Amino acid sequence: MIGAILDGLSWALILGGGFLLITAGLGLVRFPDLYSRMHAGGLVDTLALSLILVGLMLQVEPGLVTVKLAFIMIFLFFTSPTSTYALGHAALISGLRPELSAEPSEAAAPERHVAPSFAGRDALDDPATVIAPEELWAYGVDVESVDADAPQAAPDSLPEPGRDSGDDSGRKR
Amino acid sequence: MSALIGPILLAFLIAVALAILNLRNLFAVVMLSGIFSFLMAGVFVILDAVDVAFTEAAVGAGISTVLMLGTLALTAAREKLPRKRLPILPLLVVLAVGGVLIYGTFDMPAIGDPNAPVHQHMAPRFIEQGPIETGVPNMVTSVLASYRGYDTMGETAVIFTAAIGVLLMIGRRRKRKPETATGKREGRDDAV
Amino acid sequence: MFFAAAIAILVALGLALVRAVLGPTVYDRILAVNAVGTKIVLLIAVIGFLTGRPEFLDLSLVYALINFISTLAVLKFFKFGHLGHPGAENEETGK
Repeated sequence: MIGAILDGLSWALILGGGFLLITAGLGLVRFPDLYSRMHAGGLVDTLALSLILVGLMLQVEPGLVTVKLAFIMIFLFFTSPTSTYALGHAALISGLRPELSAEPSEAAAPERHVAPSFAGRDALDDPATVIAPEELWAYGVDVESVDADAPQAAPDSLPEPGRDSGDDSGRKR
Repeated sequence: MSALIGPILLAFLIAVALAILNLRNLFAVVMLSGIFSFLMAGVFVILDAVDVAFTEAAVGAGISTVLMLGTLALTAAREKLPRKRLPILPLLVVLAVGGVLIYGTFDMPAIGDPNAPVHQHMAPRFIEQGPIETGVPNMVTSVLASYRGYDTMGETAVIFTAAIGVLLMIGRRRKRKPETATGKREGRDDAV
Repeated sequence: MFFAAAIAILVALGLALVRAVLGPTVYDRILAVNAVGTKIVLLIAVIGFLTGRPEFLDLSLVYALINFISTLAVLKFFKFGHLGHPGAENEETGK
């Protein structure tokens, strides 16, 4: 009797977890910008994997396997939100703005706002790119050295992060 | 039914490999090769090669991603476009070698076949005589540390030497103190 | 039932791969790598049950650790532009 109940519960948990996993995957693909995708990929995933692992735990006799599953679950339960937070923090600090929170003035601004991620490094050569002074450090520019009153820094004065601006021409052969 | 999982993972592997070929942003390529390693580790688990899967996860998905990123910090982030010429000769060579390799797999025994030579020749000796001959209760340890002990020692010496060499080459930069507060970028001067 | 769970995980894995290939920014790809890692951890656990050998869960545990550490290392790299120098004393300029 108890065994049947536990089995049914485990079925429900595993299937519910599987459903949530697929939902999270769809959200990961369909949502418009990084931050909403992170909700799908981070939050729903954590719940889904907890459900699946608890469902698996109910399938075995209590023992070493249960303990291992519990360890995996506890570990993922803490690390998955942590890495989601770290990702969101790194993305926000690098200047990637949420698409949905664009204020009218910001949305009407013609300049292209790029994230200083390494994918966006090519944008440094683009004169249309405008970089806010408070984000310059992410390009490797020292924030203190930049005049805060200057409307924008000339893009060609920015050193490329990850290498020096000075010896770059000397190394080209 | 569960035999389906392996082919699906292999299909994912092919998709990731094609995506890596098409991408020009090298950071994206590094990320995708991390995914490739994870998928490969899954394939290894399905093939019952758990130890290889361990290594693949630690080296492929963990260390090499970080090493690649460290390399990309010192070099360019975009791949240069290749010359626009159809590489006929390399294609032929690849096709020939691939054909020979596939032809070679026809003679291989099926996975888990108990009559395969690898299960007939040496394995029974190690299983039956290993504890008696070496006095080591663990089968894997007896092979690793006794039957092929010199080999293992050589391997360890090679890895140790490599680690020492790498440490000597890259581990002693930033000897002098940076003069200004912007020491972060100046520290890279002597690193390059 | 385990097979249904495995199929669900594989579908989610495929969707995460789509995001990894499309992903316009680097952070999207990091998110996808993290998701793929989590799903591989789950897949290995479920495969253990599917083949009746749940002893290989250690592998899942190690994968979970590696996935977390490599995600943090990659994020640190993209935040600071480097992975830190040995013996660096004042590298916290990003704070």
